[in-house]
Amino acid sequence: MSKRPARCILPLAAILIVLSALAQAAAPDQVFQLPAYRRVPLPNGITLLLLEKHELPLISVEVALRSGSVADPAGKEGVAAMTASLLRKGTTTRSSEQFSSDLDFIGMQYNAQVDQDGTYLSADFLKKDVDTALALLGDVVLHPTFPEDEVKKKLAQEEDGIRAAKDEPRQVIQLYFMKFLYGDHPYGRPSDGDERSLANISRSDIAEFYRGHYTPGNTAIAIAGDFDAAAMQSKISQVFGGWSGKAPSAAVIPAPKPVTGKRVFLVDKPDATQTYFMLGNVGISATNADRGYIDVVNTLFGGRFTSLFNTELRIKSGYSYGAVSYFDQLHAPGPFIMMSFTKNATTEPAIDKSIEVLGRLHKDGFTPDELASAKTYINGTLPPRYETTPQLVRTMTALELDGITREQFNQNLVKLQGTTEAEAHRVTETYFPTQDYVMVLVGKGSEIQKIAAKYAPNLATKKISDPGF
Amino acid sequence: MNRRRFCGGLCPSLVVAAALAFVLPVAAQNFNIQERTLKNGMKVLVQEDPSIPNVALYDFFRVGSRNEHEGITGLSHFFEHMMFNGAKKYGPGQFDKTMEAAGGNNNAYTSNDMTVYQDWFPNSDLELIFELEADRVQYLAFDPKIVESERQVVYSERRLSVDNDNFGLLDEQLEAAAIIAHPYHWSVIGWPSDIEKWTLDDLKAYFAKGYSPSNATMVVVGDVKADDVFRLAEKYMEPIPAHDPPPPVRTLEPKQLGERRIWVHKFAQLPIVEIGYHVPQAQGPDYYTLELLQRLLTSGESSRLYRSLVDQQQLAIEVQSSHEATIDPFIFTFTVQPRQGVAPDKAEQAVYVEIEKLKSAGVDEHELQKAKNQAIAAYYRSLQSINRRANVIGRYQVLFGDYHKLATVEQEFNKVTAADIQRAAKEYFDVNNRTVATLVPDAAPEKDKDDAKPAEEQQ
Repeated sequence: MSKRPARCILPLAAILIVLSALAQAAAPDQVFQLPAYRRVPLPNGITLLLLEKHELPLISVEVALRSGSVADPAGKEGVAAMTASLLRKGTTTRSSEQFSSDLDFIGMQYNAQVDQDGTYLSADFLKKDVDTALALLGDVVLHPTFPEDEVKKKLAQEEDGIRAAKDEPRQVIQLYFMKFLYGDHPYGRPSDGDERSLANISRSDIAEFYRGHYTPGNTAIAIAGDFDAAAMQSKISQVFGGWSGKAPSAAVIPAPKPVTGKRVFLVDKPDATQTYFMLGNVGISATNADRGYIDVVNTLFGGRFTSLFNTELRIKSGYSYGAVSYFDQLHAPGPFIMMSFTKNATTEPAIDKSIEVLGRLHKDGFTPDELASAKTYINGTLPPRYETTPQLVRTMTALELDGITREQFNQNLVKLQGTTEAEAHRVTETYFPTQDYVMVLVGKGSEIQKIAAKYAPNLATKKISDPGF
Repeated sequence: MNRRRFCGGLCPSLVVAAALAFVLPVAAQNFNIQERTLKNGMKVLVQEDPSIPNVALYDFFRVGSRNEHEGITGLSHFFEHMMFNGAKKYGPGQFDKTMEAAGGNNNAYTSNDMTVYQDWFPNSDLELIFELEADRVQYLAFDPKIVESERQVVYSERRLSVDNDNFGLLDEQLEAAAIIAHPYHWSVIGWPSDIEKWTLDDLKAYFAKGYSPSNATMVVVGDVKADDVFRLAEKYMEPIPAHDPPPPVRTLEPKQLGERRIWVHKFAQLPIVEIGYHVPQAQGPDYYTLELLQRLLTSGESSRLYRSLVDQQQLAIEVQSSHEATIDPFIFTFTVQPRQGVAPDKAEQAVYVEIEKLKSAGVDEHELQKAKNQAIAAYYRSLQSINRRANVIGRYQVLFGDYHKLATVEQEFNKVTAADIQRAAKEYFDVNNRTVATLVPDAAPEKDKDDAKPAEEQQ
């Protein structure tokens, strides 16, 4: 049990986004700057990113592909995610079991994750095991075989995984929110698929996705830790140098349209004793030039413990254990989300209060002292967010895939320092919704449906046990 | 609290479990911890590390749900919340406001055994943080209005992590069934009726009981000089008077004499099975053996239970186990989520098949070495940040009795033999030592339950 939920109540993707959003700001004395790293284009098209860090005998690697669930064929949502998770389930030289035994014997952590814009394979291991670890990583990236029985097994497990996730509202509410806000836009699709789409996926879909997207020209590899950069570059060249293939044409993501007016969606979870809700609209892209200013405003609005939103929903009223807001960081404009939860009986006043604070943000704005506090807060909390090798490789690949250089990232931290009242006011008016938003509630329909209907003319509803989001 | 599956590793309690479970002292000689005991008995441990210009300052109070009794279950955790709600110099809300405006942030967590306050800040804030901490430890205020509001916050936290979280709910039920006498019987968050009813006097008594400096250890890791920390500790913390520590926890859990089974019926799509076996405390026998057993059985996709239940037989979506370092004996828990259509009993029996194999055939050196290698790698990961290191040092001091023991952990792991593994499996994973909790999905939801509260709660 802990004092605050900020890190716990959000799905992992959202956490990373909150952290990376917070990462983009700065403060008075010394503005934090991301440590220097080498960027080396390899002859076959891989972009290699190297950061030496010698305090502990550890190395982290992240292989990132510029293809995520946006590249899933319609009706087969989850192909990118299934491809990534099946890489380890058999290669030309290792069975699935052999791979797992080899991996576990060196105590290596290995993860495959997919979001809308990318695929991320991460490895974390002891320096002494570097050759084994890179060989394992190279094996899954270059030589997966996708055995038919493993594909079937994984798809069935994943379907049950989605059912299990729906037993816990905080795990799935953002998937419902994204679907409701983005509709048929690729960002409305669940990256891991749903109960129906997974049933439509076959081995050939996986193999085809692999052939089209797992190419060196589509890949960035970030490595941070206890190594010599030149030696590491030659190790990587040995493992990945023989890989060939063209990059797929870059995904074309249509500009998502913000919702006008108000729309509300209720997901009925009949045993829920509290209502989980999200309110928001289409926000900004990763490269939005105003992101630093927006981070300052959002820190004060819903990004930290003493934010306006958390103050009203938690500190003053006791409605909730926590209330946060954040702008997701995606290639195309991602969502702006306000999120909280409250017991069934206080659903209405908690939502009213959330809408009210949004109004107050526009009406009152923030004082110069508050802006200064936010800037100092952001700058002071940056170093621990870029301290460990897994944090660093995650940042390096995220910037690379978003096309943001380290210099730009660092300049943004300095620029953020200069957020004026006028800038804060402008970004508030431009990016924070006022009258137009969608709201998604996951809760006990029999108790809260009438309340939900109050907020929009046509209430959309669904049972949590219904397939899809 | 344990086993929060979906926190992404950022949930503080999860970080704690991970960090503590795998402590190995490979780098212990590099820890360079400097130590000072203040006149009031407070211990201060400092590790200088200038790698980032920040500091992690943790206060460990040796008081947790273990020190509670019926009627005030969950009060340690509630108190943890109240420590942020105003003192003498810094009134309500000022602790957080002041710290955030200075570039710092904070959190806290409560376990069965202790309450831990965490501050993370730029090194220029060091004195300010001492001032804030001393103010609340010495002069905490108890505003009845704030108590009522915070009561609702904690109840919301309970709904989040227990009532609306099937794993949290089943954990609570399993522990209550397996542990019948010792205070580990109730969960850290506390029973709902106690959350609703504890009083201002309960709170004040609790403060007086647990929050003596002599009952606390401060750990500071980061870009500081130990002498500066000691000087500030003497200035701000030393004047706080010491008093008696909480009374000793006398009750010991009696030996379990036969299997216990419970069922939780709840609206859900998938069942869950949890199996708990009583095991010794952190300072008791077999701590390291049990750590390795946990890895052999469920750590990684080559682990015995993953391979059998998830991969080969496809009976479960996932299987995990949990072994915590605690002051008094607790339980080693297996958690299995069966696949849709698989009877929970079938998944449960598959766990026993693997356990019996381990008991009868033991483990070979390669597999044992794998578990040790996993533990060593995980240990290094637990040292990667100043925050996690502060946590590991403090937990070692409180739960294992002395942070110096960090230096012997590697030896302890290396001492574990295949014979130890087999003996411990036989000794602890015994049917009469076992409690099984099954979450049975109900198609229809239960009738309205706990939130149908009287008017005063609905405000």
